[in-house]
Amino acid sequence: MSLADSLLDGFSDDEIELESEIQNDSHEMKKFNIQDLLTIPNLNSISSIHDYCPILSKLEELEQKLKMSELEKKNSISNLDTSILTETNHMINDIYIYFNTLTSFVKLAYAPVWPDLSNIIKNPLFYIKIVNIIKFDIKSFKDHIINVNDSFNFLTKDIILSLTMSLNFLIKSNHSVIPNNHIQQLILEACEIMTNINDIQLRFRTFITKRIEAIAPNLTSLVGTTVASQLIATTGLSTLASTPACNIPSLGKSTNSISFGYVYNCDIIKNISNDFKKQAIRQISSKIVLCARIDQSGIQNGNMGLKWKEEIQKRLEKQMLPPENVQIKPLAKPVDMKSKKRGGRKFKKMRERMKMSEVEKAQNKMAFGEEELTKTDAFGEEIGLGMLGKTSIRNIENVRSVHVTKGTKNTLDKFSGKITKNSENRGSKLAELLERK
Amino acid sequence: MGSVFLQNLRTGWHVDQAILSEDDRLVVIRFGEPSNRECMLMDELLYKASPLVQQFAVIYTCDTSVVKDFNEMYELYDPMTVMFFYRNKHMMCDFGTGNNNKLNFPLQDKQELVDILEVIYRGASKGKGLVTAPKDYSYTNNARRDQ
Repeated sequence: MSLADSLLDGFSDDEIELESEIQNDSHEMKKFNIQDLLTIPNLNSISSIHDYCPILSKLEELEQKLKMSELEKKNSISNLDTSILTETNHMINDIYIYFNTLTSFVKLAYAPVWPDLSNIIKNPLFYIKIVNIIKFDIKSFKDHIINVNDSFNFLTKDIILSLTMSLNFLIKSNHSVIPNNHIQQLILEACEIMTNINDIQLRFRTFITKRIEAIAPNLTSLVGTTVASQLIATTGLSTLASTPACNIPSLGKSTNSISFGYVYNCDIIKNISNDFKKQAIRQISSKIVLCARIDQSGIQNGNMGLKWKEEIQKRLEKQMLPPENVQIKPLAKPVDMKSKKRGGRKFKKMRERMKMSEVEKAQNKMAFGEEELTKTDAFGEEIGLGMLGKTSIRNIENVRSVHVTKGTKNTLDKFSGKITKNSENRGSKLAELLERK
Repeated sequence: MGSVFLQNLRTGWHVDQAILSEDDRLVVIRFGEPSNRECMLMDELLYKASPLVQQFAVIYTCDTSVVKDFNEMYELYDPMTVMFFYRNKHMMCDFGTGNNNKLNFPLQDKQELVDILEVIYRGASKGKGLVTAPKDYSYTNNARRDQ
């Protein structure tokens, strides 16, 4: 940065201070003026609209700075650039407020001349352009169309048609009221201010587009230079960083409900089919906010933006794959199979455990021609005993014995003094214990 | 709407061939008027069940207003009737409704239909002519008639 630059910087700083003083003075005035500009009953009392717009001088100063930075022609951001950026970011909201107020003012003031014009032309810029061309002689509209073809080339044919129709009706019904010279001047002045503001905005946008890669490297690598510059020019980097992701898609949307926001113009979303646009936009919007935050922290490379872009593209490709063709597995034939449990050591043991005991068998038998013994159980039921006690019962031991595992059996054997392989010489467990004592 | 994929039998000959040609699977034929609501619901159910039971049953539809050959023989006077055949033999199933020859009430659940088909197949492969449905439909059927 040269000495001259720093001098200039200082100079402009002074100016800003002066400006802020002026703004402070006019701030109170401006407040009721903005309300008044729309509600004032008698427009004749206003001398000039310029008095109501302290922002204009600031904008002029910004314009000069822009010119200076354009002369510099550097790739990196200079201090001047950053100062321009921060200033414009602060002023973006103000610019909007002024522009909108002036729009409503012009529409209000011009309504008596051509009431339908504001309904047909939604774009405020087009509106003031038309007002500038035909001024207050509405009948000249037709002459303009017939004689000078290019003057309305910014309008589509159907809009020109509806304008002509509304004009014909207006002339027939004689509803058009032309205001006095002073108000005419005010309206034209407002139009001029609006065009100025718009011009500066446009210039600021081109400036940002040129410098965008230095200003927001991550955002640029995510959505490309054009969209990134549009986003930053509308909100500013700091506001973009604090905007909720769900609001990003509507940035740049006009009042026209069919139109799309800026984000719809970025590469990823342009190249995707409509079915997946919604998802893609959601993903990109959330990353836009994150990128803006990274860029705001002053990181100079766009690696994160690139990484996220690739991530989103991969994810979308996966989502766009056709669904896997899942075959429904048919049920097996319901053929009855015989039980596979037939024998085996375990099963044999189980059967042995569950089989009818000798006692029960004997109880079920009856001697021919003899009365059987009976007993009465706890419920008072008489139970026959059959051949029980009349025949000898063999193998009473194994039937319905307590089921013991091998380990328990071993320990039990030890205590009962049975000789096992390991304790042949030791005798009983009890004896062993006694010996120890 | 998947029921359009069920194979339709256009003539009596087709019906005969369908019953005759299958030698290891149950042949399930839905006789009825396709415009009827009950019939449409049952068709959807049959379509849903068809890939599941394809190993042991094949499902056809037949419009009784087009193919009138069987209306008298099988007494097809209901808007929707489902009949079962195995190796050219009519299979009967006791649903508890009093009519064992056919299923002439709409089912609500796919699994119920699959269960019925399984039971009939099991009985048929054992050589039985009449099986009992896993669920008793006498109550549901009466409820339907009251409406």
